[in-house]
Amino acid sequence: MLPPPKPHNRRPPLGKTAASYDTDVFINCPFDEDYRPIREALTFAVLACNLRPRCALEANNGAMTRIDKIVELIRDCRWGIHDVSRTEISEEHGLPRFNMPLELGLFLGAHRFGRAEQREKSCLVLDRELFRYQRFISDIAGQDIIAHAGRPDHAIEAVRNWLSDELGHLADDLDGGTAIARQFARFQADLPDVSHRLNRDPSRLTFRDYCKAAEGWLATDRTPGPAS
Amino acid sequence: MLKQVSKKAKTLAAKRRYPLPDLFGPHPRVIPRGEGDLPDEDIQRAIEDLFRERAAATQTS
Repeated sequence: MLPPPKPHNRRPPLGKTAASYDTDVFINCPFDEDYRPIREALTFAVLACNLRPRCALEANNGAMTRIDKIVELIRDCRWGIHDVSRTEISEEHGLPRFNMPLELGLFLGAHRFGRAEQREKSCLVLDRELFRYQRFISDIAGQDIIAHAGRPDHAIEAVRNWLSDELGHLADDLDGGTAIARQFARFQADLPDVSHRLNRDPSRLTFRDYCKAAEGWLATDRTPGPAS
Repeated sequence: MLKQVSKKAKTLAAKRRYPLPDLFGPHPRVIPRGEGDLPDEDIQRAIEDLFRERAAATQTS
């Protein structure tokens, strides 16, 4: 009898760091439809900077609780983008949603208390307005906190500039934030056509399919010749 | 101001014990395909077809 197939995405045992730690970027952001343009902009910006986006939207392992999955993602990613712009009072419950700040706290905790490689972590905190965070999470003052004003192009520029600051001369050959924002706008305009060819609704692509499409589009767009 | 930032960045970089990633190296840019995800070759073909058709249309016009 054949042994059962190995899972396609084997995780390192608890406490071990993934081989891709240095190139993986944890995106901690809302998943609702209204936020989708910013989420996709962040994902695209990470790919345009040649790093690998990771987020809780990745295919589910049904046996894991959500918090276990988040902890595993945080452990596996050296870089983190945390958008706290949706920390606001909900009309339905009169209470704020606090998942993003919680995950930011886990990331900062790993950075502070983790092993040596975890202490290399770096994160970018995004919000709608500068200093709004001081009204609900003032203890994070001192982190890189950038306002994107709900604009995908601002979010892209923030990610690109943050990575450029972190990576120094290693990021010299990356495109600038404005150029990446222009590429993103062109990719988003092409996405309905690409999705149609795949018999998919562009708003219903899986996180991995979106990443793969953006990666393929960037590679094709960068290729000199008739394709560009 | 710029000089100060650069100095700070250099000091921080010197303190790092782990190397920074080679952005242009051969590392994977996308997570492995899972259940419900489309095949890579289908996605790549759709993109290449789009670019090819657009290039052809541009040449014709």
